[in-house]
Amino acid sequence: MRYFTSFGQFVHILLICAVFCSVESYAQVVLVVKANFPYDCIQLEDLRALWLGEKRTIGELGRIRVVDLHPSHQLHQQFYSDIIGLTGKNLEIHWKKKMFVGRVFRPKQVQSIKEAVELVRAVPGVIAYIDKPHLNDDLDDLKELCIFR
Amino acid sequence: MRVLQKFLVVACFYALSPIVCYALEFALFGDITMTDSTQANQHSEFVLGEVDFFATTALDGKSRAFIEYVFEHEEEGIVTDVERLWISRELTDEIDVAVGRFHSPIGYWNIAFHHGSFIQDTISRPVFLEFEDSPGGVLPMHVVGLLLRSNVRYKKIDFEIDAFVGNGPSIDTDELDSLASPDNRSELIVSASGDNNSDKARGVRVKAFFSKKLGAGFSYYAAAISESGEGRTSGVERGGELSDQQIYSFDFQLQYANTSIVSEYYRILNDTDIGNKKTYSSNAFYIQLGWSSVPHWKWYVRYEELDINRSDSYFQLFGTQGERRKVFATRFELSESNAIKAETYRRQTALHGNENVFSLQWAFLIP
Repeated sequence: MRYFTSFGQFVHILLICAVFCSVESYAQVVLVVKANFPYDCIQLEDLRALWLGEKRTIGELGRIRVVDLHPSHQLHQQFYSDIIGLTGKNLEIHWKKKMFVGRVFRPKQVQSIKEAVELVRAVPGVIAYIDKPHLNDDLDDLKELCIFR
Repeated sequence: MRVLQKFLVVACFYALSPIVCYALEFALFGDITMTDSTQANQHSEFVLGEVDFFATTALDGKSRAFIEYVFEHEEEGIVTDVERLWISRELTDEIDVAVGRFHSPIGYWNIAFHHGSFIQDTISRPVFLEFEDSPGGVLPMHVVGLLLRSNVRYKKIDFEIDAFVGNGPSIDTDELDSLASPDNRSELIVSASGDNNSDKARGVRVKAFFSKKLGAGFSYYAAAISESGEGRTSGVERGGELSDQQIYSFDFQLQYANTSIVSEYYRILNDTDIGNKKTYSSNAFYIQLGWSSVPHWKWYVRYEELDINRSDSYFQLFGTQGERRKVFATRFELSESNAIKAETYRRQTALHGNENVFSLQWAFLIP
C-alpha cells in the first residue's frame, strides 16, 4: 500500500485496470457468409431460429447450415448470451429436447475461428460467427451479414 | 527419454492438426407418478415411470446414430426395451435415409413426445395412441425398417415428408381362449428381429408448417397384421394374415398467444381374415386445448374418443370395447428440467362403465 499515496488512488487504479481488462476480453461478434450469399442482413428472430434448430432456411433460400464454435471458445459464450439469448444449462436442455425428437441436431461445432471460416468458404449456404478483427483483407471472399434487431 | 520425445512429437502432431470431434450426446428422462382410481379393487399407489435413456452422435459429416432405451419397472423386475435404434445418412440437403427402429410416422403425438414423459403436456397419452405394450395399445406405434425423411420448403411453407417400409406387426393369438372374449389382452408385436412374411408395412406422412405456430399433417399407414403364434385359436397359420390394416390420420396444431390447440383424427380400416371376414371401419380422435395464465403454469382440457366397430375381430383380440375420456390437467414448470403435472380423467367404456382416475406426476430431464 506504500506505493500509493492514498487508498482512493489505489481504488482508482484498480477500476482503470478493470475497465481495460474487460475491453480486452470482450470481442465484437460478427456473422460471416460467402460474398455471393443473396442477403446482406438477417432478422435476429431468424438468426436465433437457425442456431436453435427451429428453422432450416430463411426466405426463399435453400438449406442454410450454421457453424458453432466449441463451447469452450470464449466467443461461443458471448454469441449465445448476447445474440441468441440462451446459455449454459438452459441451452443444453433446449438441445436435448430437440435431439430427442430425432429430427434436428446441434449445429456442427468447430474448435477455432479458422475452421469456421474454412467451412464458410467450402460449403454454400453456411453462416458462421467470428470476432470482428478476424474479418480482414484475407477474407475478401467473405462478407459480414448484418443483423436486423 | 526417447519415449518421452516420441510422445511429445505425437502429442504436438495431434495438437496442431485439425481434429474433427463428434460429441456423444445423451440424456435421461424419468418420472414418479402417484395415481388413484374410483374403480373397485383399485387403490392409490406410487409408480416409478419409465426411465428413458437416449444417446446420439454424428458418425461422420453425414451419418448419425441414435438409440433410445427404456427401463420399465414391472412385476418381474426391470424390463429393458430398445424403443428407437437407427442409423441415418444425409443424401442431399433435403433428404435423409435411415434404417432401424422408429416411432411410426403417424399423426402428431407419437413423433412429438416419444417416451419422454417430461416433454409431454399431460401425464397420459390419448388412449388409442398408447404404446403396443401398454394396456389399450391397439395401433402400431413403432416400426422396424427403412425411413426416408425429407424437409422441403415450397412457397414459404415448410414441409416434412416421411415415407417408410418395414416389418409388418404381428399378434400371437395362442394365449387367447377365444377370439372375441372381452378379457382378451393381446399385444401388437413390433417384429424387431424379423418378419413373419413378405408383406411389408408401408406409409407416408406429410406435415405442413404454415408458420412456427400453425401446422397440419396427413398420414397413411398400411400393413398386413400377421399371426406369430401357431394359430391354435385363430386358425391362421404362423405368418398368415389376421388383418389387412389401413390407417388414415389428420392432425392439426395451433399456438395463439397463450392458448394452444392440438387435435388428431384416425380412421382405421381392418380387412380381417378371422372371425367375421369383412372390412370394418373405426374412428378415433382427440382434441386438446391448452392455455397459460401465468408464466410456467399451463392448463389442459382434452376430449378423446375411440369409437370401434365391435364386430371387428382385430379389436376383439385386444379386448378393446371403445372408450371416451374427458381429461383435465395442469402442468407447472419448476425449472427447465423438471415439472409437476396433475391430471384427472373420466373414462367411459362399454365394459367397465364410468371410472375416474387421478394422477400426480413429477417428471424430469437429466441433460
